[in-house]
Amino acid sequence: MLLEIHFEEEGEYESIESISVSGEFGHGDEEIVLNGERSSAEFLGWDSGTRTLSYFLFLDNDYEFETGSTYTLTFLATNGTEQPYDFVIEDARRDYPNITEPEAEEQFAAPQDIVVRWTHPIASTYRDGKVIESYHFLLERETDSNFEWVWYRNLFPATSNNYEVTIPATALTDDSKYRVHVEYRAHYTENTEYFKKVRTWMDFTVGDYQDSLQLNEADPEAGYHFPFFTYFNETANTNWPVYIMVLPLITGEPSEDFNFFLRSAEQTIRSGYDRF
Amino acid sequence: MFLCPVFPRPPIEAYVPCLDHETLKLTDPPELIRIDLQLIAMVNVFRNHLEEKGFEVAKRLFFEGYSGSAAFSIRFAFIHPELVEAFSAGHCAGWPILPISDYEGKAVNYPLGISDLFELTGKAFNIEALREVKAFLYAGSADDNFHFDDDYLNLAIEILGSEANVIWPNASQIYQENGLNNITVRLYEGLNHSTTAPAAIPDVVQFFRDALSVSSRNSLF
Repeated sequence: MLLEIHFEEEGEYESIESISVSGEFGHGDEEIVLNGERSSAEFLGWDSGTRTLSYFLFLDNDYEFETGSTYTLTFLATNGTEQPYDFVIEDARRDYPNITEPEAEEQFAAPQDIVVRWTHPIASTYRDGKVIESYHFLLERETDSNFEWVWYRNLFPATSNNYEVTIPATALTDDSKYRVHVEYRAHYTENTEYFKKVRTWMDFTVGDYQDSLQLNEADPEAGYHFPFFTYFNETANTNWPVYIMVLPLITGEPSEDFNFFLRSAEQTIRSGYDRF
Repeated sequence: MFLCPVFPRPPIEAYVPCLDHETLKLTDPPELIRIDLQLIAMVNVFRNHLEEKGFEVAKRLFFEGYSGSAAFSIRFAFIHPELVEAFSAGHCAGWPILPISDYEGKAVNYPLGISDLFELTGKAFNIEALREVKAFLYAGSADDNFHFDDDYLNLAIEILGSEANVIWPNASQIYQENGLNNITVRLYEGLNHSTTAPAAIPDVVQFFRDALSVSSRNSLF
């Protein structure tokens, strides 16, 4: 969850010693510390121009917010004074749009009109005028080091819960990898400080694109009985030696389903190179 | 350049992804024999692939892991220190491996110590090579998610303690006493198993940036 704190007065942020969030969480602690050594949040930044402080909270079973519950942000100033600030979580459900077309990692031979379809039943549950909802569809193209914006569309919720966008062939370049994002956005007219966004994404390729993420099959003759994922940056500077970073796989539970480990390994390596 | 081996975690006594002592002893199924050596074979294939693409590939490896995958990382580094340039390991399944073979007259066996490392791996413990490895170990002081193994649990508690906020300072002291000043230990105050990993990301990234900046071209050969 993204938490943005706007300070109205100059110097307020600088006088803060600690910030915490308290309330009833799913299973665990009743307080989350946002800053300092005990922080459980990722510090995203401080914008001195707008006086906005941003944190990202990783929600898990320990820190599950509850719909309709009130939580308290507590600011402890360096002079010892405490200032509480209450906010309400309007909708704590984490329900992501489900992209049904095209298939993940689908390969298109050449640039062409591509239909993207998704379902998302959540929007149809609000019809009381208190929620303003929309979908933001975003197409990005992979570049040397990241993804760049290419094309977008905004849609309003449909009663069918089925959505469709056609990416025009003119927006696509041959021999490229693309990522589409579908983001559900909800503003709450009676709780304007709470803003819900849930985003899902999938990739597809156009033309003769070679993915830098590869699954290498097991090769007992070469000395290994299991497959492994590799990722390499094609555009890395060849004037310097490169290092191989090993990301060992760990799963929370044992399993007899090898596909479970394949999926976990792909997630591990993707999160690894995203991070570095 | 990243590599993730798909070693499974089957429902057997050996904790395979942690490269524990039972894993190193496995003879059945044959696919699970010495996964550390299997990983080295995978690395060689990837290295050849990169070299064919024109990359000059450093001989030694980076490892990054948290929890069980950190246990794998640090244990691999203790077995094959000559292959590791740097590793970051958070939590390490509770008790990190120590560079000692006995404690008050008791053998400290792998994966708590290195007493039987040669019997398990055919390799003697090479502390000189390990001193050349850059290492960042970390844990949350409120992390109570331990992997219990009766084979070494009591001795681990006796040597290091039973809570993270004493285990890691004690481990750090033992590393220092054995000349492993290359191992940095950081304890994140008040954080638990879920919250430590994300909180540590900036430090982990910085650790590898620093490791890259000081790693010389000598590591190529």
